[in-house]
Amino acid sequence: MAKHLVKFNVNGKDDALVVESTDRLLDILRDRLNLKGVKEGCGTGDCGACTVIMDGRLVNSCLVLAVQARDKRIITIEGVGARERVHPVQKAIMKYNAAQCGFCIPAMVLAGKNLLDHNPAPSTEDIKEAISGVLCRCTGYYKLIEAIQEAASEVRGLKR
Amino acid sequence: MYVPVSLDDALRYLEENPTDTFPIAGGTDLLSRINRKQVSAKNLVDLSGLPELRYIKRENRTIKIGALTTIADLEGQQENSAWGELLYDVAKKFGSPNIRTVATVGGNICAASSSEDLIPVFLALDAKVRTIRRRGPREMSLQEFVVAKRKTALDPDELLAEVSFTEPNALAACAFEKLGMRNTLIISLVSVAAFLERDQNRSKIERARIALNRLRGKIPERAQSVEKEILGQKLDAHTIKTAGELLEKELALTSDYRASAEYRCEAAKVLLRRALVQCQQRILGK
Repeated sequence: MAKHLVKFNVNGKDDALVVESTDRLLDILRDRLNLKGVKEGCGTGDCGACTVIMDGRLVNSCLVLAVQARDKRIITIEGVGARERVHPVQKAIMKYNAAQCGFCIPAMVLAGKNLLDHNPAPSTEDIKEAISGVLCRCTGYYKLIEAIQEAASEVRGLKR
Repeated sequence: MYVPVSLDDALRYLEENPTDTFPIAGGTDLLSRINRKQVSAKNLVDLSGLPELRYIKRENRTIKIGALTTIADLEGQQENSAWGELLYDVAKKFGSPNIRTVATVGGNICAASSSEDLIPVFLALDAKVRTIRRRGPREMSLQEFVVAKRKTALDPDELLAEVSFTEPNALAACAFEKLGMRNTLIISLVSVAAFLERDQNRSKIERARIALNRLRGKIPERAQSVEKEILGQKLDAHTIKTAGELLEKELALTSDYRASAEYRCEAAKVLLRRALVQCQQRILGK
């Protein structure tokens, strides 16, 4: 099996790892970099639980080979907010009790954050579309949408 | 996996390793098939880092789209034109935002099945494809390229390089409609792409191309008898209604675990009418 040296930036930190051809980005984030906030749901691109931000766009890390993530900037949930200073999306999700079982929440936060990074004044339709690749099987979408809406006003306030 | 340094390098590798070698671009189709053990790809060639085939450009009256253009690139296409609207429509209904980041135009076409939304869309645009290999490029129509379910005209040492089509004129409009079980990550049960052009007096249909994801077989096809019948007709409610009835005669669908043939047939008629109404509105809006 061929080995490859992959250099990339994860959560703001440059890294270099030797990976196998068949390693998925999901595998190395979880198993090599210990970023367990990246979840594996279906492994076929349907559920979006493994969502990460790659060069400013959402991807399913189960459908990206580690080799294909070379030279990319990756953001996982571990790179968003901190316990003392949570991201507005995280704060709003807590306020609205929008997390139920929690399995999809890292992906939902990333989808919400990435939307607000590009569009701080999203419509409800924009929000629905932004999170449409992430399945919540508790089906608690409405509170998530409300939470992201509230986070958007906070982000706009911060920018002002 | 082989990581080529250039497109030439990728073609050289394919020529030297013709057996069991799979090119991979976005990987959204191939990796899920490998995971399900439907494909055993011993040797992958990673095309994802090659910038040469990622473009949307206009040359004279021809629109050229590189095979490694992503679906997100199509979505970002702010072209206020018949083809721009069509590509935007299909991109917005394609997979999910996560999928669109990496999935490519070429990958979707090469996957060659009735659930690949870009095939009916490019059939409606009467697209040609250009392929490349070290022995030289080839050109053919998209119909010739998609041979059968999961089978294209590509040789093992060959890559799809470009899709191109003549830019629709100001009297034309296009539309895309698709039906699945939900709003995102749809595997199309039925999809319809339509291209209509009116004559100079804006009264009759001068050109019509209608493509469905399934018609008689398991790959997308043009509904040529419907096209023929609506030519020269007025673009009005009567013609649109008739088109749906004509389509029923041309359809020979089969049932599978996703939907019955009867359901697909009824849905195809409705979707065709919706697509034609959309074209009509877009033409009137001009």
